[in-house]
Amino acid sequence: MNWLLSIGLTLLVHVGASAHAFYFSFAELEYNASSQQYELTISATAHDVALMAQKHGVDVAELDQETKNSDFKAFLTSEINAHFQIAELGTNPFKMLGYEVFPNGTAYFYLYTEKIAPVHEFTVQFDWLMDTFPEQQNKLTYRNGEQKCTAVFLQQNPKTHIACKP
Amino acid sequence: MKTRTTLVALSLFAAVLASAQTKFAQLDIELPTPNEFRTAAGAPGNHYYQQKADYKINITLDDDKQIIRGEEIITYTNNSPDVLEYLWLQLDQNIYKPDADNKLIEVEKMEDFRSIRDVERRLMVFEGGYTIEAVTTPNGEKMRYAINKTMMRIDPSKPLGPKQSISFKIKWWYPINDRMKVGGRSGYEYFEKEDNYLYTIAQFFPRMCVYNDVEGWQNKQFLGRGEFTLPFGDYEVSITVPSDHIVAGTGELQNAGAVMSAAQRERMAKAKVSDSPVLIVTQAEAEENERTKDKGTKTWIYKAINVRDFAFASSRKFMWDAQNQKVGSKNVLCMSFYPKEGNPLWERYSTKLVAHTIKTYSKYTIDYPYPVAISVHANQIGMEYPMICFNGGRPNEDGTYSEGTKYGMWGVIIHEVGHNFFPMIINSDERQWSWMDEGLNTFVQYLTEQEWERGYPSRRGPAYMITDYMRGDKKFISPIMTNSESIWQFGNNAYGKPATALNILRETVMGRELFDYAFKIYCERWKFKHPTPADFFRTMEDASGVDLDWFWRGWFYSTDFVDVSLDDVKHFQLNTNNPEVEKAAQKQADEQKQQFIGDTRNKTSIQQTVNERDPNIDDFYAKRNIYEVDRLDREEYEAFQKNLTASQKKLLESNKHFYELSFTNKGGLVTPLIIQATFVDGTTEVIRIPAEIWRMDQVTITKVFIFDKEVKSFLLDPFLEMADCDVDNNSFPSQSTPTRFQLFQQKQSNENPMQRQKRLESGN
Repeated sequence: MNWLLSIGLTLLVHVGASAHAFYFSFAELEYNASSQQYELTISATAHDVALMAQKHGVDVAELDQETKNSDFKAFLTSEINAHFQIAELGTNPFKMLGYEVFPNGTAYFYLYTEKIAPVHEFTVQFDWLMDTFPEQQNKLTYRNGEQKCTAVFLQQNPKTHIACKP
Repeated sequence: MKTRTTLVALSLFAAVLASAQTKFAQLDIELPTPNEFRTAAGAPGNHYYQQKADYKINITLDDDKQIIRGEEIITYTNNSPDVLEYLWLQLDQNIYKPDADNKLIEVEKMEDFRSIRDVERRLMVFEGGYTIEAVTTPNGEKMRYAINKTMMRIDPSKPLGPKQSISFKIKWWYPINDRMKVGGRSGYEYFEKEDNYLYTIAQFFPRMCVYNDVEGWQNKQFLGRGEFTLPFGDYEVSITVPSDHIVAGTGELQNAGAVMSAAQRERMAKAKVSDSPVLIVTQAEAEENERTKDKGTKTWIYKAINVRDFAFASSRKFMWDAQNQKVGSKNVLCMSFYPKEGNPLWERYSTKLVAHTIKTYSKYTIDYPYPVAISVHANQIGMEYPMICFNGGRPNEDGTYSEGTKYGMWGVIIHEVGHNFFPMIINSDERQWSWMDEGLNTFVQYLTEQEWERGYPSRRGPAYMITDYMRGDKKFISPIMTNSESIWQFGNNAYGKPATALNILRETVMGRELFDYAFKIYCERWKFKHPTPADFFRTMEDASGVDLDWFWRGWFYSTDFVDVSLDDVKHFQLNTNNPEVEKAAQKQADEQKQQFIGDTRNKTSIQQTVNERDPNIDDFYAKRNIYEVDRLDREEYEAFQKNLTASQKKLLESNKHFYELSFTNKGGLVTPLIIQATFVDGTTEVIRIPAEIWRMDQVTITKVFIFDKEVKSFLLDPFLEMADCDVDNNSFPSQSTPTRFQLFQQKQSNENPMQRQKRLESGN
């Protein structure tokens, strides 16, 4: 059974769901002291993100054909802000710099905040794609200077507290 | 107090020692005891046996109602030394019964029903599953049977003894699932524009379960994820379909004269000797064919020898092409079946990919033994069966496609055709261990992709690609040795991590020659047999002469990850004992020492100290010059020199550089260390240290390296082969890698390649 599996909007009907082999997203967050912004990169399989978009009524077949589509990027930004939340940063803090899709099917989404003071301890909710794929697992690595903290998120456990002192 | 300190220290030491010993302990408890069926070397034992299940099946595809009706005669041969009171079969279609367990065991919460579409999906019911009309002897006498969800027990009138066979007949039917709505590994896709169907049909008939020395009868229900475990046998299958359908099936077509036109047979004859695809049914012919519907039927007859399953595809939409691929001395007919919606990708690539896959897999595993290998277009899935697989990769309606679609299609065809080897021939138990077929197959898929195109963007395989999944928090990661149904992150766990582990074995731990030999031995030993994880682990060690228990323990039985930090580097040089050299060096070192700020300020703020004012204060100690070389120093050096041998003198004069490197194993997974030293003259040297360096202390170790030249920097894992999850702590002097955001930002600010080319051409 292979990974190129996406069963349209009916993916969640049990049998098809079990056929999919990805459901993994990885985020990297860092505070850039010189620009005084948080910088965030989220990666996921382009297919998974396309399915999520279709589920929300956004008709997109191939993510790599939409990198210049500002409406689609606005949709993605709103989705990410809704599913990658750090209370200490306020609501909708992330803006999208852009995204790219690699030939192996992995998509990287690049986001940043406005200038903001750093917080080294925060609670993060990272349930991106989980309402589309119940088996979705997300991971976050927060880089604070040379210190790195990694947390894992599941549908049953979408929120975690991170204290990552430099 | 002293006693207490000693006790604490002792227990800490014991804990570290015990842990280190655990990581390098032999896999005694974890593996089953070798026996006459499976040896300690990982080979089939001298009493190894396996059952045989032969099938004669007649089926009819009802294209009006999307129903399959079938009648089969199974002849089951008991090669075990045991008496079997009952026989178990798989009824996989029962996963589509509305009350099937796979639906009941889904964990749900109200947040799952946020929209009306969520509710609609939840309430959608497909009334699938088998209707078993009869189970009888070949003479028509009723046999007792009982259905247990996705399994069926048949009770023979008398127990089946060793070396005995039994035949029985089953009559059944089931409604075919709409794969695009209900999902699933097989089913149909409906093309509304022309009111046509494309059927990819599998798990469609009651199939014998495996009975073996490991588990007795397979007794795990089909819950959707853990796939299939099936005995080998010979198949004769007659498939009756609408007469304008083209059919692809496991095995060799027996009645081409009855189902193919003369032109098609002539083209097929050309394809059988061609090393590039020849169209048997062209796109124009397929498009013409799908415009109308014949009322009559045709029966396509297939025979397949020594296979574990049978699947087929049928549609009036199919194009069909074929080519020959030589494997050893055998000819293999590679074929593809696809609708116009698959073009232009499918006509250009599919059959070539099939041929490349069986050729490359044959090199790394066993010679492909079957006469045909088939790839069938099935939108958005990838699923494997003996000799035939169903693969996605559909261009846009305007015929364009993205690079991702192209590589997705290439990857899925290589992967699914590759499954012919794992598990169709090297027939592991998928219901128990997904990694044994998915992981091994993904590994060889990676090798095959790299031989298709240099720098192929493989999705899985290279060590550095697994690190996001493995790093950091170990919660919600399963060891690879976890049953298929209970795995967190199925794709990364069953496909990605084992493929990575095998790559690390091949590239770093064992080396390509030892690995390739052992891996091929495993495949040869277990082709057309039922291997278990222990058989794989043992064969890889036994055939290579490499103790890999620590590797299996870390990579397959634990959730540890690789993160080794290079903490410190200390530079030393040999003491020459020559006072002229050593005292001058001491003077230089003392002068270069950092100064305490108070000392610096006192030089100016204190105008004169007591001993500067009073000459009677300074005595011998204050006045002596510790950097001065005196007679005694010289005499002692001469005496030292006299005691040295010629080789010792040479060593002393060699000016060697000593570096003590300190490492910490932060991730827990023991690993070989690959260290690159870059010298001040710009040259480099790579040192490879086996994982056993951690055998006494799993957490911290030091190692001394001796070079003729001074080192400028050290880098751990310079070729990204260790799956090190944090490469920021791998350098000395410390060097941090940019984040992905920073890399993208740099790309953003740069001109694109075309702008650069224009600038180049303009001379600016």
